[in-house]
Amino acid sequence: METLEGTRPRVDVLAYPAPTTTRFVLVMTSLLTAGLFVGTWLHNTTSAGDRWAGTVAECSEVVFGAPVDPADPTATFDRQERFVDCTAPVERTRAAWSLGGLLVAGVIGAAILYATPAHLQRSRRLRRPNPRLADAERRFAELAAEAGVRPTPRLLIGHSSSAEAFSFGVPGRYTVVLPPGVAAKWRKPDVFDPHVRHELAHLAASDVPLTWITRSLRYAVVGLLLLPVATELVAWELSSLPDYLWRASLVAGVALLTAAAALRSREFDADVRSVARHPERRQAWVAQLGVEPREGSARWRGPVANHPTRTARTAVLDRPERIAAVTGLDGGVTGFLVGLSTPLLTAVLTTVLAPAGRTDLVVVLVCLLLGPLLGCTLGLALWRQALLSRVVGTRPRVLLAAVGLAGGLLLGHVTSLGNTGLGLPTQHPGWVVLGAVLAFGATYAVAGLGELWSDVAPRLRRPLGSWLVAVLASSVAFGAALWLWEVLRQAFEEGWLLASGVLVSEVGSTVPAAVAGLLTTTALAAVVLTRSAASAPRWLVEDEVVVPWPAPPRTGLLALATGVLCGALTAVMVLGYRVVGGATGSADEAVALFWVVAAGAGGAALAMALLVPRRGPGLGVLAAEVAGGVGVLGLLVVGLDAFGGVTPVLLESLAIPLGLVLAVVLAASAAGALAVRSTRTSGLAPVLGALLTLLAGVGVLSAPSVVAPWAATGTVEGEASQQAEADIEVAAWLSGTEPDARARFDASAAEAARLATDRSIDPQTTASRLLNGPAAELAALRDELAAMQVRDSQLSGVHGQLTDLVENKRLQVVAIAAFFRSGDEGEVDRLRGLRAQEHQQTVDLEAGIVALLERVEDSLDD
Amino acid sequence: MIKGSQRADDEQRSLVKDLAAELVEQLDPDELAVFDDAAEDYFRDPEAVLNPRRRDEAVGSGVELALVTPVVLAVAGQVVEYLSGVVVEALGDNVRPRLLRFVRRMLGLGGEDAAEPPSLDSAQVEHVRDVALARARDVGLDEERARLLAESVVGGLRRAA
Repeated sequence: METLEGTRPRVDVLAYPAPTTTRFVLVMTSLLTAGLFVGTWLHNTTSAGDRWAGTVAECSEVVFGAPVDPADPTATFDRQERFVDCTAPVERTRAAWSLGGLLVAGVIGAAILYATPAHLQRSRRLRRPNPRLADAERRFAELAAEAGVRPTPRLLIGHSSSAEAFSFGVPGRYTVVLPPGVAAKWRKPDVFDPHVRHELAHLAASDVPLTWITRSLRYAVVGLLLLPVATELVAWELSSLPDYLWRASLVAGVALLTAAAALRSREFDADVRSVARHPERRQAWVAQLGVEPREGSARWRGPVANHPTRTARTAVLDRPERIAAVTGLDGGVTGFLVGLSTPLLTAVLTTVLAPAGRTDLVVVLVCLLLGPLLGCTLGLALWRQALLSRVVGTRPRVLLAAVGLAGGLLLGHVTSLGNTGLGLPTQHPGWVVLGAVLAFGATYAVAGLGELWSDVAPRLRRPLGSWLVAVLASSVAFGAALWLWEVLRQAFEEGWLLASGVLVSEVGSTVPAAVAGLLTTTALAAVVLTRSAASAPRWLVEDEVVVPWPAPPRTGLLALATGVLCGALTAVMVLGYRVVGGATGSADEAVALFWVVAAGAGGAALAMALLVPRRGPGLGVLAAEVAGGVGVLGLLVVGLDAFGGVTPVLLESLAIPLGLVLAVVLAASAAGALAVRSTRTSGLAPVLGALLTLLAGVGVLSAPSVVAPWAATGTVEGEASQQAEADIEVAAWLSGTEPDARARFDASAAEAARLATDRSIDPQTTASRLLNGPAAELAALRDELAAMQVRDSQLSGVHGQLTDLVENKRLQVVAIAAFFRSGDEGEVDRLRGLRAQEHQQTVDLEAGIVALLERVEDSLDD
Repeated sequence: MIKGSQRADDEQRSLVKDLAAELVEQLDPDELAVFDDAAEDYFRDPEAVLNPRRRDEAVGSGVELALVTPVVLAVAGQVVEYLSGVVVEALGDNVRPRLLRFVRRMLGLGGEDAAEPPSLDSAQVEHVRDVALARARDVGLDEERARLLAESVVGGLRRAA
C-alpha cells in the first residue's frame, strides 16, 4: 500500500480475523485430497482395481449388449439403472478406497500430532521448571490470565543449548517452552514478559493447533505419496512415475512453502497482538528483536523460514497496517491450492455420487467447499485492506491479487495430481480467457463490495458484523466464480457450441439468478446504510483519539440511475426488435433477446467498474441487477404475447437473463483493473453504460447465431417440435447408436486382449492379427461415428467423446501391435499414457450419457 | 588409580562449577536460578551447549536469548586447567587432587585445609587473563563481556592472594 498522507493513526489490524487461518485450512484440504488420490491409485493397482475394470466391462456387456425395445419408452432408463445397480458394489469399493486414503492420511496425521509432544519433550530434553524458577512460573500464569489464554498452558524449560521460546501441543493442551536464558530473567519484566506475551499471542490466535496439525498432516501425506512410487517400483512399471513424481513433489513443496509463508504472517500477527494498545510493550519487544542475530542468515532460507526478518518485524510493529496489504502471492497461493484440489475433489465426488445418480451435484459441492475457503482467505484480506486504508490513507491494491488468483487457479488445475497420466492437459483458449476474466472479476467485485461496506463501518459497534458480511459475500462471489469456471471448463471441452448452450441452460437458471440477487442485496444494503459524515469506528483504532472517516461519494444513486438507463435501453431494444422483426423468430433470436438483457446488465456493470474508482465493481453488481430487472420487463411484455399470459414457463424463462447477469457481472467487474483513479468522471457512468449497452445489444441482435449457435436451428414457433425432435434424436442415439458402438468396442477390445495374451502365436503374427482384426474394426467404427450427422449440440458433444474413446482404443491396439513387432519399450509407455486417458474419457462419457438420460427423462415428464 | 583419576575429575568439575558460579554471580546473577541445570547440560555434552544447532522454531518467538553460563563454564574450565598445569608441573601428577585444592584456595573458593599454594607472579596472572579472554572469545562471547569475564577471573586470583 502506498502512503497518501503523512500522519496516520495506529490501526487495530486484529479487529478482523486473520485471513491466514483459512490458508492453513486450504493447505490441509490440499494434503487431504492428495490422500484421496493415493487411495484411488492404490485401488487401481490392486486386485480391487482389476475387479472394478472386469465388473464394469461385464455389466456393460450384459446391460448394453442387448438391443432396446423401441416401443418401451422407459427401456433406456431401466437399462441405465441396471448398469448403475450392476456396477454399484465395485463403485462403492472404489469410493471406499479413495475415502480410505483420506482417512489414513487423517489418522496418521493425528497419530503424529499426538505423539509429537512426548517426542519433543524427550528429544529436546525439556524439563519442568526447577524450584528456583517458582516465581517465573507464577509470573507466566499471570501473563497467561492477562492474555485470556485458558487453561493456563504448561510451562517447560528448554535445554541449555536452546535460546528461542516456542509452543507446541494438541488441541486444548498446550505447552510453552522458554529457553533458560529467558526463564531466568523473570525478575526483569522488560525481558521476560515480551517473550512470554509473544508465545501467548500465538496461543490466543490458535497458531499452535493450526501449525502442528498442518505439519503432522504434511508428514503423513508425504509418506503416503511415496506408496505409489513403491508399488510402481515393485511392479517395475515406470512409465507414469515421472509425471506422478513431479506432481507429488509440487504438492509437498507448495504445502511446505505455503505453511511457512502463513507462519511468517502469523509471526507478524503475534507481534502485533502481544503489544496491542500498549506502546511501552512495543518498545520492549523491539529491544528484544534488536538483539536477534538472525539478520545475517542466508537469503535462500527466506521462503522456507518460519520467521520474517527483524527489520520487517520492527516495521510492522511500527505500522501494523503493513500486514494488511494483499499481495500477488496471497492470490496466487490461494488460487493454486484451490486449483490443485478441484480435480481431485471432483473425481472422488463423482465416484461417490455416481451410484446414487447424483453426479449433477458434484460441481456444486466442490464450490460449496472451496468458495468459502477462498472467501475467508482472499475475500477477508481484501475487505480488511479496504477498511484499514480509510484510517491510514493508503491506496488498496487489488490488481496483483487478481493476477495471482487467475494464474494460481489455472496452474493448480493443470498440475493437479488428479491429472496424473495426462501430461499437461491442454485447455480450450476460450475457457482459459474466460477463467482468467472470472477470477479477475470476482476479485474486483469482492474488493468493490468491501469498499462499499467500509463506508458502513462507522455505523457498526463491533467488527463482527463487518467481517461476517465479508465472509458471506466473498464466499458467495468466489463460489459462484468457481462454479462458472468448472461448468464452463467441462462445456468448453466441446468448444463454444456446447459452452453457449450451457451458459443459457445452466447459468441462466434460478439458482444463479438468486446468487446474483444475494450479491446485489449486499451492495444495496451497504448503499442504504452508508453514513455521510462520521469518525472511524473505535474498534478499528488503537489510539484513544477521534479519527475522521473519509466521506463516501454519493455513488449509490449513480448506480441506480445507470442500471435503470441501461435496463430501459435493453427493454426498448427487445420490444423494438419484436416490432420490427414480427412476433415470430428463430430459436437463436429468442435466446439472443435474453443476451440483450444480460448485455444491458454487463454495460451497466462495466461503466461503474470503469468510472467509479474502488467502489465501482461493487456498485456494478447493484447497477447490473437493476438493469437486468428493468430489461426483463421488456421481455415480459414480449413474452405475454408469445405465452398467452403470465405462465409458470414464462416466469421460469425470465430467470434465464437474471442468471446470466451473474456471469456478466463477474466478468465485467474485471474492468476494475482499468478503472480511472478520480471520481471526477463518475457522473458519466450512465452515459457510458447506455453506449456499451447499445453496442452490445446491437452486436448480439445482429449475430444471434454466433451468440447462441446451439439454438441456431430452431424457430420460436417450432421450438417445441424442434425440441421434441432433438429429444427423439437423443433417445435414438441412447438406445441404438451408443449400445451398438459399445458392443463393437467391447468385442474389439476383448479380441485384442485375447490375441495379446495368446502365447501360442508368434509376435509377428499377433501384430498382423491385431492390426487386421480389432484395430481395423475400431477404425471402421470410428469412421462410422465420425460420419454420422448429429444435430443436437449436447448430443454432439457426447457423441464426440464416444468417437474419441474409440480412437483411443484403436491407438492402444496399434501400440500393442507395434510392440509385438519391434519390442520397443516406448510403445509400452505410449500404451500406458493412452490407458490413463481412456479412464478420464470413460468417466466424461458416462457423465455425458447420464446428462442425456436426465434430459430425456425431463422431456418425458413434460 | 582409576578411582583416584575419577576423584580428580570430580574435584576438577566441582572446582570449575564453583568458579563459574562465582563468575556468573558477578556477570548475570539472574542465571543462578538455572545454573545447576545449565552446568549439568554442559558437563554432559559441552559441544552441544556451546555450539547449539540453530533452530527456526515453528510457533516460536524468532528471538534468541542464550545463557552466558555455558560460556563461563568453558572459560572456568580453561582457567582451572591452566592453573592445575602450573601446579602439577611443579609437584607431580600423583598429588593432583590435593593440588586442585591448592588451586581452589588460590582462586579464593575455599580449600583452607590445603597447604599454602604456590603464589603466582604477575606474568602468570596476566597469562590467566589471556587464557580466560581467549577462551571467552573462542566460544562466541562479545568483546565487552569477554573482557569483563577475564577481569572477574583475575580479580578472584588477586583477592585470594
